[in-house]
Amino acid sequence: MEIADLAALLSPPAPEDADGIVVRAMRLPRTLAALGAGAALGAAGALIQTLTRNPLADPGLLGVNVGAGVGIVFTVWLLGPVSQVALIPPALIGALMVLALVWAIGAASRSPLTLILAGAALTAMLSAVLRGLILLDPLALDVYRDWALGAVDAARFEVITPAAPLLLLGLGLGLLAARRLDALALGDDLALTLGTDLARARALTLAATGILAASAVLAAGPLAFVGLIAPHLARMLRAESTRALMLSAAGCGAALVLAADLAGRIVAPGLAIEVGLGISLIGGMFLIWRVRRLARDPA
Amino acid sequence: MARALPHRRTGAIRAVLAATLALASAPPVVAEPVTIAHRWGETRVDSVPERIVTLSYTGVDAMLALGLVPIAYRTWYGGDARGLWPWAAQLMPAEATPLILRGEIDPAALVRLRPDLVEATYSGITRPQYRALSRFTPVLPPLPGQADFATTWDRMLLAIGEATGRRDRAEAVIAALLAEIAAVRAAHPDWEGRTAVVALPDGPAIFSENDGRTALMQRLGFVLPEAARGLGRGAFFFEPDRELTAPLEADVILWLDAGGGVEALRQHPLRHSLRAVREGREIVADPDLTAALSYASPLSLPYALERLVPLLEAALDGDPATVVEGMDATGLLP
Amino acid sequence: MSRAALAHLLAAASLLLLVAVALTEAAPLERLALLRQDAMERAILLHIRAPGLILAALTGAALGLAGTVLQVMLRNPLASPDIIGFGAGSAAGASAAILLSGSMAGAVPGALAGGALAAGLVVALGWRDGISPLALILIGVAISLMLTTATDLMLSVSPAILAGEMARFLTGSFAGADLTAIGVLALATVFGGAVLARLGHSVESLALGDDLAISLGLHPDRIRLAAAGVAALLMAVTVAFAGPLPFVAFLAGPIARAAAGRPGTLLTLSALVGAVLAVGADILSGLAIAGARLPAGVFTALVGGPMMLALLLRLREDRG
Repeated sequence: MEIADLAALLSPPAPEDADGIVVRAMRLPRTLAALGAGAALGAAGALIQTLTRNPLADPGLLGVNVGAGVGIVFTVWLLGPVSQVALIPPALIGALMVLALVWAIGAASRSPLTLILAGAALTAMLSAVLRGLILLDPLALDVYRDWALGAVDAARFEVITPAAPLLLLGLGLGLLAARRLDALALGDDLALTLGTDLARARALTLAATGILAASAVLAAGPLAFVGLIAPHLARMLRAESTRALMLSAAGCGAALVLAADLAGRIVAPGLAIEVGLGISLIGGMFLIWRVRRLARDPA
Repeated sequence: MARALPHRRTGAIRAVLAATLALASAPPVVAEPVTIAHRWGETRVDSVPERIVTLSYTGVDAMLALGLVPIAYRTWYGGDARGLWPWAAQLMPAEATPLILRGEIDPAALVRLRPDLVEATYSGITRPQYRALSRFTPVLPPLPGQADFATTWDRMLLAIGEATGRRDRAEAVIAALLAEIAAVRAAHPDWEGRTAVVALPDGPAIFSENDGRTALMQRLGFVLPEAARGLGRGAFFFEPDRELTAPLEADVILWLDAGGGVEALRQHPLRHSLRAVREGREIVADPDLTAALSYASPLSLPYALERLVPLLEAALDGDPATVVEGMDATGLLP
Repeated sequence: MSRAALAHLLAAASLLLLVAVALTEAAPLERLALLRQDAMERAILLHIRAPGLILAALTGAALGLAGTVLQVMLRNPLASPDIIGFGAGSAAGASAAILLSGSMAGAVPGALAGGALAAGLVVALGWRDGISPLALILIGVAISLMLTTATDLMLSVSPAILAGEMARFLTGSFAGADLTAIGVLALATVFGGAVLARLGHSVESLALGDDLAISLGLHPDRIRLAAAGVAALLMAVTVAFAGPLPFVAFLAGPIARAAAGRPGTLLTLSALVGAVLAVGADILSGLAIAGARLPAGVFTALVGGPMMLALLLRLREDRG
């Protein structure tokens, strides 16, 4: 391929070149959004499952999705319907605020269960706030309904660009956290004697998880289950260390979201099936299939 | 926003509405007690009601169309400070001070208004609420066999007309509106059999044959493009795959913008590949016209026709250079 | 008088006071005079206000019972039925039925079926040669997430106005009060309360460990199954008639235990606290915005949210 071809591929296609538009302005950002969101959720899932030693933990349990939802609904309630790009900052702020709250509650707690339940309880509270807001404003309800399923088909570079640096930052922090988590896996007491700062490892892991989840919610809306399933697929691939697990879960997550997006287009040709719908179906079945073996009672 | 005055008179409807307004101040017609069948049985209205509460989301429009001013009404979305859109605001007497109901139905507050009819055919009223309210006053819940929000404007208007002793008036309004639609169709033989899609820019989502908005276009002679038929599978709307433009390839595209829609259109990468867009056969309904088509009430439909017909004429005049009114302001034109 | 007895008395007094405030609309003398003169006001009290208040009190009591027994049984103050998927199941079932029927009337059968299915699923999947509290919580939270996603899905594919009504239902309110609702809920609450009262001490003794319970001649799994079944029943019935009222199940137990100054199920006190929360929310829902009634769930969330945060922060100190 000549350099000129590459340049032509990257430059905006002519308005009448429908095929060029489909590939460059639709399939490319759509694929990138699916891959990025999947990778972020997969890595985040591996981290949170390792940290809480709970194979059923999902990054969504940290309340990031519902935080972003509240940010979006609150903005529309305040300002009326606005463009997709204008909703990015409030979604991000909402996600990070909830994350900070769960982090404050969970980071210092020794009990992994407290973290999960704190996230679940905060999610319940914010869902109630969100439902109150959409009751007062039918237009906010419409915007929320459109967003809540999670979709990548309308992904555009303007929307996924802000998510990319978050993904990289999250992956970087995650790699740092993974090393500490491996030390922790030897047991809290041993880790202490090995000089690993327990609290710092927890804080780092939570920060990485949250940032990754926030980047995913920006790129594709709230996608449940990816973070739950991807680490299990990675374990089937025999990823051993936390670092390997995280990276391979990122790969599995990316593949999963992309596959679900493609599956939706094959199952219902001609219709837009939001990727979140496909993943929820796959995820729900996977959960029921695997759950009995997964939730081993450590007590 | 400056908006050009509508340059078409929907004469018959104006005449009927003027008549109903005159009627509003006239003494109520003496009527026999009427019994109206509905989903949960029958409601008997003994005398012509004067204090009417309407809980239907489009109820205030129906009342005003019959020349009635409710003492309280429920709003759906948007509108002016009183929750009224232009088509209803002009008919609501300035001196009237009806109570505006928002949020949940509050039966105790309603009863204290001492209504002699509570109209709720399009309201989502629950059976317990219906029963509690019925102890105090006749209540008109959804009609037989109708889901909460499936009653069409004409059935609703007839039922309300019957309950308020204004069945003749209701029939006249319905006949005038249907005649107006037929007249528009007759005046535009060139629209017959041409294709039209009504769609929301976000998605985009296309309204299928079951939806009132697409049904109105069909009453004007338009048909849904072959590629858009059947995709709805019985639902009111469907979202085609974003890469698939065939369902949108029509002789005219009517985008309904409830707010933020222009931005969504600008962001659709394939919009310019649509022939209707390239040839100036695209219409963006502003939030008022969108609401008029979505409310689909006996008042909003005349308003919608009055504004929509010139837009359709400009879009379908066979000259790509004609700018459809309002399109230049959206900044969507090349 | 012991602190626990005092707490019971205080909760009962608060409930009575709130009911009095609600019935007389905060102006007792005027209202009483008006009630004497005005037949319509008496009818409003009898047929509209009283059913709403009774439904609120029963809903709160049922949620209080369901919440406290699960928290004690699962040995975790955060593990209430609205967190571990029982409530989410009823909400998803109700939404599906509303969507399919196109009418709000679908909510009751949908909530009952959905709640039963979800609770059955959580318990079945959490079964490890018996009910394991930890597995039950982990699975419950995961299934709750799944069902909440399903509910959002139903909200997304409904026609616009129906979605608005569905959102209203999902917030939780007492608009559906009638004799059927009150009768069914009263039966369920009395039945559930009676079963739990019989189980009461054995549920608490489970907290000391299964071995001890077995040595006392108890069957831990039967007790857990019965308690979980009752909690699921109470949850499903409340969602069917009042929607998924947030936080009441979650908060009643911890408030009761803090007030009484001792651990345990504290069934009566938890039921009273739940009723106080729900009736209080019902009063606020008519007052907040003039001319507009907001669903009571908005207020249980506004009151419950900060209380929950305080509880979580205390847990952090305890465990941190």
